[in-house]
Amino acid sequence: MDETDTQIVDRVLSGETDAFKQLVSRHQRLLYDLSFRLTGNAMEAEDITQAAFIKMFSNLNSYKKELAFKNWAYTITLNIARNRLKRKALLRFLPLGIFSPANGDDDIRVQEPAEAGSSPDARLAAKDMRSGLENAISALPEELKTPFVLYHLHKNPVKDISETLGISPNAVNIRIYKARERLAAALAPEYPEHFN
Amino acid sequence: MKNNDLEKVFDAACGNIPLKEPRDLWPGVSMGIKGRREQARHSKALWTVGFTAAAVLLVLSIPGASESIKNGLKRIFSSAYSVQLGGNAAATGTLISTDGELKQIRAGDILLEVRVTGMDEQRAMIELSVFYTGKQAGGPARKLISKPRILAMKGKPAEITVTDNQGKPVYKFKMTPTEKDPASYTGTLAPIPPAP
Repeated sequence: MDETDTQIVDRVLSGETDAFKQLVSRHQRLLYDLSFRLTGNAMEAEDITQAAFIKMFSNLNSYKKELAFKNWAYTITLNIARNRLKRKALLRFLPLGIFSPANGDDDIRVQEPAEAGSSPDARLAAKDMRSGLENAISALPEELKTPFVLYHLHKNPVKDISETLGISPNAVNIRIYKARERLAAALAPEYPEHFN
Repeated sequence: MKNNDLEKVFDAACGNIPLKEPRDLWPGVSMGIKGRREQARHSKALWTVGFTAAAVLLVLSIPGASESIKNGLKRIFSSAYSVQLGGNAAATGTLISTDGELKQIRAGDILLEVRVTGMDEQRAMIELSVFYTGKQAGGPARKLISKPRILAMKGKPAEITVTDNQGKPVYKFKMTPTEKDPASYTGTLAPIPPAP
């Protein structure tokens, strides 16, 4: 049987620091995906995810085991990502843009992998719709985007999202609801067969 | 379209969106963890060197020992203090204690315990314990760094000088245990600026 996150945390705390690698390997995909969707930048998403894991390791003593490790990891990642986004928003107002990212770093995007199966036309249509949906998600404000991504893309239950975001399950449901409404409104003109 | 229907639509649509795949983040995380450890070890070493030596090379002085004392001790001490250690922000306040009562002053990771005890009509004992309370590998630490005591003359300033292993003063603790109302008792703990 697979070792639970809590058991791995116990091993790390007892001095087996390399066991932390297993936690990184287990959770890096979801945390990276969330960071990427919040920042839209592959390098920054990697940086945020790494910083989050380093912070988790440093604060492992304060991790409360009644909280799922994944939710704790999400919370730390979100805090780091939000701080970076705030800083970036602030930097945009600085004169001369002296601290702005150079060379259009913000525009780096991860190449989507080619999909197998189904006909080329269907694949193209699906990819087109998917791409439209991803663009619409990226345009959502952070407070709606995060719950939507955690629910629809990462398939987390509302209770866990509530724990991660520190808001009530009802508030989570409302935010997901609003996100869906906005996305449907944005996508309906182009994909009426799905969103009308 | 109803939001319940939208939930199904988005469940289906988002099912086609693959999570973003990061490269293996462990090497970067591992390096970051090592960097943090080095940093922590370095800063801890400075404290350890400074205060372990300080415990040995404690200099006690009792100024005014030959002065005649006219006031009696009223079993209440009130001391204004100022603590600034290790680059932390200065903490100030007034320490009011009854005879023999242990009181605490916290300055960042440094905890000072001060006890003032009346010995007779002329003298009072000032006991100072300096603890380091930062986090260590096994959890929170409470490590005694130095525990000087001084027999002070009432109404006269008593001074405890803590030095490092080079004989250089690190900080001073000053207190004037006098009787009467609490406002007449004063005390300071002031850092000594490093010699040029």
